[in-house]
Amino acid sequence: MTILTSKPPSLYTSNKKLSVFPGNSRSFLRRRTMLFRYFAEINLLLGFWYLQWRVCHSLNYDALWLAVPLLLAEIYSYIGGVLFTLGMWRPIERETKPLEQMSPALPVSDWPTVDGFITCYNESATMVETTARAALAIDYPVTKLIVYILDDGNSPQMREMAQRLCLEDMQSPLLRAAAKQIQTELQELIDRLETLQLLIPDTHAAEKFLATAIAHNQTESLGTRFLQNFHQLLLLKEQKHATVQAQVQAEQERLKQAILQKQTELSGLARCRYIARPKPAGKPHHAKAGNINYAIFAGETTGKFIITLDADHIPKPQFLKHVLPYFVTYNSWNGKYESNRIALVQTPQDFSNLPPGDPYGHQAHLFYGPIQQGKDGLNSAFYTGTNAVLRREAIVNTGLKYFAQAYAQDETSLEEFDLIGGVSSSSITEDMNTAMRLHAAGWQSIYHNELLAIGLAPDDLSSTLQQRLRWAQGTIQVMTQENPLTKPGLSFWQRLQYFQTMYSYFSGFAMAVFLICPIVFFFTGTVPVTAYGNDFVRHFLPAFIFNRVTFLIIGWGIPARELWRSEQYALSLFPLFIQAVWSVISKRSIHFKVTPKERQSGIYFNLIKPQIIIFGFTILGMSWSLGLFILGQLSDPLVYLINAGWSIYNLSLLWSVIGAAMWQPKSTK
Amino acid sequence: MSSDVKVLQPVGILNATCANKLHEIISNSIQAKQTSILIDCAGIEFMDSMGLSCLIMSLKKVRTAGGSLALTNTNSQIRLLLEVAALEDSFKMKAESLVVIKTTNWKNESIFYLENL
Repeated sequence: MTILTSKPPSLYTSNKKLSVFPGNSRSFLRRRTMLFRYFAEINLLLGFWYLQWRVCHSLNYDALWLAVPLLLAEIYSYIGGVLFTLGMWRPIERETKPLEQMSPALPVSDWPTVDGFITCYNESATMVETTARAALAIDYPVTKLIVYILDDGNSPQMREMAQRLCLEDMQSPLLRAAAKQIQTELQELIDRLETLQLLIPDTHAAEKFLATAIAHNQTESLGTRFLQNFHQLLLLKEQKHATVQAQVQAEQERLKQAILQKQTELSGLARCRYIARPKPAGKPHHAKAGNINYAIFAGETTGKFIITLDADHIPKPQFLKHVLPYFVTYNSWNGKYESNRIALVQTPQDFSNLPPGDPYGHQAHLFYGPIQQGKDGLNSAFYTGTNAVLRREAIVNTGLKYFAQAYAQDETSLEEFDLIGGVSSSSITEDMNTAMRLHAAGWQSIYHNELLAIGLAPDDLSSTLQQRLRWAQGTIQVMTQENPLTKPGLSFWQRLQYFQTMYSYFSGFAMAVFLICPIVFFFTGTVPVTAYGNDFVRHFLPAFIFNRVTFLIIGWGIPARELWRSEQYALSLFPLFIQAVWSVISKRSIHFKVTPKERQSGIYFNLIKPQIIIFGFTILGMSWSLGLFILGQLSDPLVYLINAGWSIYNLSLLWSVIGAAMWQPKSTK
Repeated sequence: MSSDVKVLQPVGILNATCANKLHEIISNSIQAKQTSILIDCAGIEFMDSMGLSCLIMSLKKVRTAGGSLALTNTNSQIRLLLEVAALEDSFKMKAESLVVIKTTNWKNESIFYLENL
């Protein structure tokens, strides 16, 4: 039992065993992809065979009101399977060399500047402090990383904490050494500038003297000749200046600039900063997107790259060194590293506070693993809002395009430029929409399958459901606003990836049909399929078995318990998915609700009424028919058996949310 | 609103770092009730997207304060960026403010340099 509950150690690429390969990064097809393709093809063929049998030979024309919904639900699921298989066709694994091991070497002075954005809303200052500390401790040159706490709650405690942390950080040996280094360099520059300034009058006099000497042809004396040669030598060094005086002045200017830069660097050593945007009442604030955009545009941040972290996601020290190499490409023509078109690198999310058995199904090794790798293989790795590094230029560039559109329609959008001009703000899942816009603008994304930050998951049902509802609503909202199938700029495969995700959120209706069908049979004897019997088993079983096997191949290495949990939640959240579709289509206003990070206490049966009702009726129906069977009044025991099997499957899937609603942490004494 | 037009002459590359400096100068000038601002772009060699967003932010601030912001001597690269963002008209001063420009003594004391990092 303990073996089952302990975490598998090797779900993510471990960087301990770095294999040797030429270049700085490589990618290859995910292991067992061929096996997956083989089984997936058979699965789809069998599924098709089953479906044509259902359409042509087994539709119950006497009960079309039940038969048609079931058939539609089955077709929906089949198409979902086809899309999923296509999306998983080319999953890739990547390996990169860390920043300092790249060959040819990238000098530390060329490493890009990075801003760490920690977004928070109403989280406790202690939680954010832990995250900020870890962010400051990221292994990266101290002059090139600044951590910003973007506090959307504008709390005095947070501000105080940021200031304290900033001071503390500046006292650290690393920072002190850096400050000393910069100060020495600064002093050197100032000294040189002073010397130069002393030289200026003399240079002027010397050149004047030389000019008169040449004019009067008095160049015979050794001193004058030497001066003339020396003058020419100096001019040869930098030919764009006509006189040495101009040269000296240019040098003076250059030194002044360098001094200014050193001074900026010195002030940049205050590495933990606090930004709380003004939130005037009565105006849209654009939630998390507004928070990030304000930080980008308000004029305080300048980093070339942005690492986004949710308040509770604690980064590991190697984060930047392992992720940044993706953003540069070596140009062998000029021997330099150059920026490429990678706009973002996403890393996995995992949680440190999951109770044993993960009752709320937060573990997402399937998504942060094969699914993201599949998306990555088709250049559409998703951005999921945290644990990712973004290229500022890409965000701003793409954001400006959409701002220009909004501005052309409505000049007043200028007022909120700093809230909408970067990361997409038009959906409550700003992350997905942003990635889609980046892809449409020709930028690329990467999924890096190494766990580089660990966060907290909501640990009660209410928050969990709230979070899932937001994802579902946001995704469908994006689809209605910017349909990936018609959005210009996306490749065919990217369209497919985005559409597949959106399509999957319509599953609520199909799931409801699957749950209701057996109940209807138990109470009325009505069946949607004419031939439950050998014929049914012959068509259904092979498709079902291959489907399971294919799923297991995809999830290879992920504990069976977790796969089962994710399957349970895919079905049992059906009311939530229906609600999400309904709320978007009926255009009821949708608000971004920040997922609470602290446990909300209580038992939540009221949140899962539909599931409980279905659960109850299923059990009732089974017992009712069992009673009939005992009394000898059940006409077709085999049909009963099939429906009972189906029901038990349904019940075991539904049990997850019911168990989660009852789940309480063991009280700590 | 003061009738003087403040002229800024940034020099160098307008990127994130320099943009922040421009931000600061414009905010200060708005605080000093100087809300008619002309940016002479003759010295700007290149402007990136952060530079452009800084101009938009400045426009926003100046407009909110009831003033106006205009650009002059824009090079082809800057014009292209403005065109793509469909913003080129927004940075022109209205006719009445143009009169103001003509009648104002141009003050060049506000020249500043943007360091090229």
